Amino acid sequence: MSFVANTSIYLVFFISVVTLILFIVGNLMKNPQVIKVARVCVITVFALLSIAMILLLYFLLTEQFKYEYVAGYTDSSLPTVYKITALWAGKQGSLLLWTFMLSLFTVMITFSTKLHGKPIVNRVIPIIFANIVLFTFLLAFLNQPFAVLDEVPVDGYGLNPLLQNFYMVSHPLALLLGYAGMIVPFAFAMGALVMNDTSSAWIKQSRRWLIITWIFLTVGNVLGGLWAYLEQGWGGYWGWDPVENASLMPWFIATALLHSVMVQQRKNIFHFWNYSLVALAYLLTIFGTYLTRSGIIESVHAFEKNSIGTYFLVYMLLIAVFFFYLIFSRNRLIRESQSEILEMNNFATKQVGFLFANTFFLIVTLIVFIGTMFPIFSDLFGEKKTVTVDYYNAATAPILLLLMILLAMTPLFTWNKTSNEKLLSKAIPPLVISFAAMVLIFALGIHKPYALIGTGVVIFMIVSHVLDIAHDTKARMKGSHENALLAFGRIFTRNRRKYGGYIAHIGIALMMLGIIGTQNYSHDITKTLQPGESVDLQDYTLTYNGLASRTDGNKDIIYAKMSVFKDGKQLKDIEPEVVFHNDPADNSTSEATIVSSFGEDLYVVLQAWDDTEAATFFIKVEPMIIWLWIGSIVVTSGSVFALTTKKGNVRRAEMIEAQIEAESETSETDVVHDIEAEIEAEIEAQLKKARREKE
Amino acid sequence: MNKNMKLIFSGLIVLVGVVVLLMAAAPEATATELNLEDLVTNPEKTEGEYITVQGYVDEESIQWDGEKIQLDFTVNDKKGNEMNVTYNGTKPDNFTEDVIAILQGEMGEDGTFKAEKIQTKCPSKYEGQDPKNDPNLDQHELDEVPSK
Repeated sequence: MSFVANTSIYLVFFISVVTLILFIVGNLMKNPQVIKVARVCVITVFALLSIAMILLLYFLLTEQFKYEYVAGYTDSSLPTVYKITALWAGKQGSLLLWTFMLSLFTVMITFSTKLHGKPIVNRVIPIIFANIVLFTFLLAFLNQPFAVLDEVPVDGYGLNPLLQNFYMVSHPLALLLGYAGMIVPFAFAMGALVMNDTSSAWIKQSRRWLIITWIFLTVGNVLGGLWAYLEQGWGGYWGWDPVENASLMPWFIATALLHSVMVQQRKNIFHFWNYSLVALAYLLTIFGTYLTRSGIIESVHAFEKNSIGTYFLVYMLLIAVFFFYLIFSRNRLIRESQSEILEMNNFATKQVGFLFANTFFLIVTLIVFIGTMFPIFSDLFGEKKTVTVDYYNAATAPILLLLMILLAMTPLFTWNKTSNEKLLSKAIPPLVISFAAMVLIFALGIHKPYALIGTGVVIFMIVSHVLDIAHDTKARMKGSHENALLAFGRIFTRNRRKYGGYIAHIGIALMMLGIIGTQNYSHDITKTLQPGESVDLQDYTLTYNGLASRTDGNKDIIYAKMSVFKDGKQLKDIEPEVVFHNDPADNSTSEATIVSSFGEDLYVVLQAWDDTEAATFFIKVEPMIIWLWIGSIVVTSGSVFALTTKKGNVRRAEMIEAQIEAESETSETDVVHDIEAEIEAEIEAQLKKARREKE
Repeated sequence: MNKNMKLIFSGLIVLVGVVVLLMAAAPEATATELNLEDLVTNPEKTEGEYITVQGYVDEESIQWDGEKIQLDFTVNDKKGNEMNVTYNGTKPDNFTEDVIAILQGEMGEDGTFKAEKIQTKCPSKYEGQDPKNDPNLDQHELDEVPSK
């Protein structure tokens, strides 16, 4: 068995190299015969990787501890579900899964009916294969998933109990999928450039991939934060650790890209931006892996270090050279296919807003990058320094606030110049409401500038989006004569991209509430209490009533009995606990008890105790934190909703866009935007009529 | 695009300047990363500086005072250098023998490190344990912090 497994890995490396060469040769010689063979290789690679995946899974499930990987990440007492998830618990397994995903993408693209017969496919596949070659090389020679131990251990080393929960299983998987998926838009963009195709076709071909990838990155980051909050016992969700930053940076750039490609599709500008952003997003996913695997930066996430860092570095350099070569050699072509440059005097338009958004996303990424790499930069000047959380918070907060302001103003602007009167009439209602809200929360005691302004911006954002939705509903009612409820529902289902985006924006606004609350107004206390003693924090009074213990299977649990009062009213008793896992490593974990409400969370951790039952507690009150999680669900739902755009709807959307475009040629103002939903309804009626006549 | 590019580049330069200023202005925005040996041999050199240092926790040395919420312990680098640490807080999870503790804080005049933040670097946090793990492997990890 081990022979089959290892052979499949060696073979897959060999065939990947062959595939890459065949595609390059086939493309250069324009020889369809060679390409045909190369396509067979694509399937072969996928088949071999599938075999490797199945074998690894089989070894994990059947406890074959002679394999280093199986022994390293599982033991016989591990529940089956964690034996399966051990597949991506370690570097070899996750690298194999990543490679498998890349290979799956190449098969999907090769056999996509939409792309059938298009020459772009033969450029996209080799670009992805360059990455596959790197990974299969590492799998074959440096990170072998099927390495066999000289002495077969009786049992495996097991999986750290901190990792045995839903979040720690799904969080790395989501990030891995997000990382893996980023290559597809990159390959489409660069593949088109190789063919001297500087049109926006690559965006159309890869936009869905981009959205899906972005969703995975978003979910992965949020799950990581949720895990930290629920399991780690310090009551935070983000620590600006290098490894966290490594997954935040591609998210920032992917978010910018997601919006920026829209501008290119709509106004045929931003070509350079989008090529750069897509390359940067892809490079950052590789960079993130490099950071976590090379050990150049100290992190609390103790990823096992090995020598594969250098290969990632060389690969990143090659990709960068490839990118710059394409951009400079196709410079003129790109310029020619691009519409007039942004008219900066025409300030009040969506595209200017997006230009700022791109810039801010780039800046905030740079701030995080500088912070992450600071130990290396400063080392060059003689003294190795790390930056602390204070740096990140202070430096990113203003940029993120600016981004929020841009986001809040999204519905105010259109693709054409908006007249000042129009702008004002649209801006005044949300402005008034958010100002009133700010006065109100100021009166309630919220005086910190970031909290005050931030909340104002969030309110503005929600109001402006809701007003725009209301406006479009009205316009649709005019065009379709539907009732308000139907029209309201239909504007969502008819233009899923726009309103999916709006839902996502509102989700971001909700998440901001959570961030503002926790960053500005969380309070904590660490206190040792004798049985019967109480402690006050904010509106809460907690009384400690002594320790108790119980067993749960193999685990011993010590817990504290506590009664909780809020404003004098008794809530349910809580039992913060410490779990002794009785595993070989003698792990124990504190399980925080969280009393959640829409206003705030009460977070209690039992930290220590002595023979007299005096126990030490970490107690934290975190305002609004629940909105961080609710918001992230809204963001994800909105993005998934945007994805459900059907093919027919795309065609209709194009017709509508053409109509709007035609109208805007004549009117020069933003009047068209106001009647977008009306036009939409009218076109829909036309299409329906045409269909009926055909029948 | 050219004009915009210029705009962006000059913007980025300004940003880098702001970042540098920010670091200079906030004393706790940066921490000097030292290895244990350097810190222990020249404690006076780092007076008043905010420091990041890491070492192996000696489980036997851990003393916990619940009344004062104070944790005292020693860390070593397995090369004979040892340092006392005091921390006004509780034990992090997995604070056991041979766990690497990443400490941030200041060096006191009495040679005791006053930690403001402790994080444990669990050797098997995400990656599983390497069955081939030899005790010297971790040694390399500590050595990675270059000496001045």
